[in-house]
Amino acid sequence: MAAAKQNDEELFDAEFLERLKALALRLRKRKQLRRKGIQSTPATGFTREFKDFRHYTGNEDYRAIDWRLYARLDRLFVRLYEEVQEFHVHIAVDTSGSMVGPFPEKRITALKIAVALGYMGLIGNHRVSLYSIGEDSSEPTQPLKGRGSLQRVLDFAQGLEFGGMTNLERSFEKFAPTRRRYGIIFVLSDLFGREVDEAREAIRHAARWPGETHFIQVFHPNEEKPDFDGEIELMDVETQEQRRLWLTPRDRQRYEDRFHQFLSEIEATCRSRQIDHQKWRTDYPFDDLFLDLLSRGSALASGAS
Amino acid sequence: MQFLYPQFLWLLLLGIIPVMLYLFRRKSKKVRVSTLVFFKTLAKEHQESAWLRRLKKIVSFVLTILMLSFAVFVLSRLIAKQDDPDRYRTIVILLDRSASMGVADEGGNSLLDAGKDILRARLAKVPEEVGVSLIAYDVRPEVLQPRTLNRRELISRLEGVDLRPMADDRSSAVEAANLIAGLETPTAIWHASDRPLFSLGEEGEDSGLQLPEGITVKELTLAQPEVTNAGITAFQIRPVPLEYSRYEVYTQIALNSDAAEPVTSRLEVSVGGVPNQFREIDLEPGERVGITFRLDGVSEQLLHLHLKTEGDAFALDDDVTVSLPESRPILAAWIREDESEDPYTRFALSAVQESGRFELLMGGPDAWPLSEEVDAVIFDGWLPEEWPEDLPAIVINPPGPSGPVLARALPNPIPYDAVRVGSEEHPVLFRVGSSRVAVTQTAVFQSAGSLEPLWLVGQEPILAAGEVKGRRLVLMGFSPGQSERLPLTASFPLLIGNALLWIVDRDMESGGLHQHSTGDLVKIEGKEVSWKQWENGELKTRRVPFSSGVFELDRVGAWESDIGEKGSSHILSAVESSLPTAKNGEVTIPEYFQVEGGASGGLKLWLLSGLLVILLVEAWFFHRLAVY
Repeated sequence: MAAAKQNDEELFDAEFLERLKALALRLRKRKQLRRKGIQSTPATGFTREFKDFRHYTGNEDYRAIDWRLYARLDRLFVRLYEEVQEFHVHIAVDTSGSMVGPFPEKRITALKIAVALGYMGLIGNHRVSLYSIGEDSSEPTQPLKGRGSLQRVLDFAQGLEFGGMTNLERSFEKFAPTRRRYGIIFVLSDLFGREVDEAREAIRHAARWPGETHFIQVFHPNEEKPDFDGEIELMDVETQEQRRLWLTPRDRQRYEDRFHQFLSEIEATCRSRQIDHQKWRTDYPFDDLFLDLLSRGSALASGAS
Repeated sequence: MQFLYPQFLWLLLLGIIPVMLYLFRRKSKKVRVSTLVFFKTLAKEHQESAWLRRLKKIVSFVLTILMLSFAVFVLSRLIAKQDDPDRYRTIVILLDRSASMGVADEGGNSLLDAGKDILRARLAKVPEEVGVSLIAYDVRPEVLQPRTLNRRELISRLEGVDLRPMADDRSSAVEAANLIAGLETPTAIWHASDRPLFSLGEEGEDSGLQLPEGITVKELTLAQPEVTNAGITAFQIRPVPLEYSRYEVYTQIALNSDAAEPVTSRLEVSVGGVPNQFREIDLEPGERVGITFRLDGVSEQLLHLHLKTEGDAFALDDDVTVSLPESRPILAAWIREDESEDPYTRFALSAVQESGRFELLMGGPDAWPLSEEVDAVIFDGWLPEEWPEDLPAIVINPPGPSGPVLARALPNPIPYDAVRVGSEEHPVLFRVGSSRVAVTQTAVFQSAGSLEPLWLVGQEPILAAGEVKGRRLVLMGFSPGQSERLPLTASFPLLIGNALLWIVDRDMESGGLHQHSTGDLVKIEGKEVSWKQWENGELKTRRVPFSSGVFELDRVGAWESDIGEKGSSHILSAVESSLPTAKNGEVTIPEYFQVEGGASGGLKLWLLSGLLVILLVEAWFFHRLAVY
């Protein structure tokens, strides 16, 4: 399959960047509505996020005394600020042929998610590492940090070449961030392997990954519900393997059932290994799914400002 | 290969439909997918290679075309070979059931039985679509089964054909067979008999006779290897003229031409069950011997002739059984102008009358027309203006023309010393001495037509006899009274007597004994006929009821109806008795009728079997190993 590159303008136009900012704002508001995030850390630090008060003790830095409160209450109190932990955000994008053909919407969606996650990571002052997985897992980019690194994220997405085979087993086995880079791992893939059960087997490796793991399974609606029937000659976009079928409505229903079963099995496998799994159909509203992804307890959400 | 109904071949055009469907079939869509693994698990059992798919498509197309072709061929009735013996659309079985087919072999199996067996076996090989008719014939043909495709019914009819003791009449049988054969040609006439229809025809080969186009005769000639048959081929009996209770019998004995050697036959005659006489006759193969003998008896007595020959193979022609005919006196009327003019005729008639065989009524012209029924009339010197067409007559000295008598009286009679005999063997001149006759011609007449001149003077006939409109007539152009010697000799009464016997001969026969050939249809009044037949040396009587006025004489023997009509029927056929033998003394079945080996010409069964196989193959390919 010919490699495909994502057009920078198409993918990250001004509107999309505005949407990302809006998403970050919505995420912050949502977080504030909750008194405490489930994933927020109990540690305090020197961030600007006020967390609590406590009595001043002599061993503490006097600069931490809230003099306004002393004036009102005539007692010394120290302001406690929430410490925001610094994570590594690992974003792995499946660049196999099935992610670009026959439905290029999958590639667009995956890259949008990747960029959005990267953006969230950067504005959350996390280190962002980007990967591509296919037949193998690529070496990660240098960890990116700060809003200024967004362009590099975009460059990465722009430079990704789609095509080739999928080897989930090997990719996931090789994809193993070091403990030093403990953090949040996002895997953007359709999880279509050479065999139906390949993804489930491969997910076992993900249990060893250091950090919070999210599998975002991207698929096209026509992959869930084929829109053809009758005598057809199928050709696999990766292996070029051909199969001739006479697809009846009954067979189509069987296919849908099998696909749903596949999704359910992936979800169950992830759940059993404390891994988050998100089905991402390309025709679903991007914003809602993205918010839902981060609002379900991701540590990344807590870092959004 | 040949199609019996080629008009159905246009249905092959239907093959365009599968051809078009094959050429313009919907191509399968090619779809690129990323989820082939799911489709593979879905239809794992249906996967097959591309070459097999292509092969199946071609096989499917070929099978469809084959199936259509086979179906059309079945409809068109495809026959295997052009020169196949059963390429015909119709077969007419012409089966001889005459008496000679009753000749049996040592096992008691008659030629008719053998013929039926061969035909039945041969019919089993005739393709179903060929219609078959069955005609059995003896003296007349009988269509037992019109053209049918129902073999069981046909075989049943064939089995029901029984022997009939009759001679055969092939011309009418062939005519009937041609009539049916011509309805739907090409037709084969299977002729099963002991003799081929036409002498030119060889066994199993087409005969040389010119038959209507499309009709062929296949001969199945049945014969025993060696047959000896001596039979009675002719019989006649009549009362001896001028003798009381005596009968003269003529019979002809013949030996078949194919007999191996000469034989000596013994003819036994019994009257009323009592042996009367016997004769031994030496016969050469093919020889016919006529025997005449006299016997005494009275009417109603049963005369039985039985011919015994060693090794005789055919019994039906060995017996003749008749009732002795009634010997009623002949009643004649003598009409004369004036009795005194010619006493000699009266004397002659009186002499005849004394024999007891004649009764005479006499009268003048005023007695005409007669008030009584007579057997004959004698016009002497007078003729009625209106000729009696229903009576045999003797005309003596005609005065002029009347009816068939074209005569003119001579004003001056001419005496002749002698006459020239025209036909010495004629019954009217039996024992009449023509050499010493001196007559005086009194009239001239025309003897043209059916009148045969018996005596002539110069070129003129003076005595003639013949038949006019079914009645016999004897014409005498002389006057006995004016002749010199004739009335004084015994020849004149004999001449008168012979003439009387001869002219009424037929009527006497019909009034007494009816001799018929078997198979004749006779009009009989009454409701029952009693048959007297000789069987195994015993006389048996059987009563046969009948309802219509016409009765078929289907037995050999003497019969009598319940109201007294009687007669006899016999085969009496030289052809029927001359039994043929197999050529070279070997019984062989013509090749055409042999059933061993060779397949039936019809391909219907094969084609239908082919259709079934195609359906099975197609079902196996496309259902068991289905393409999905």
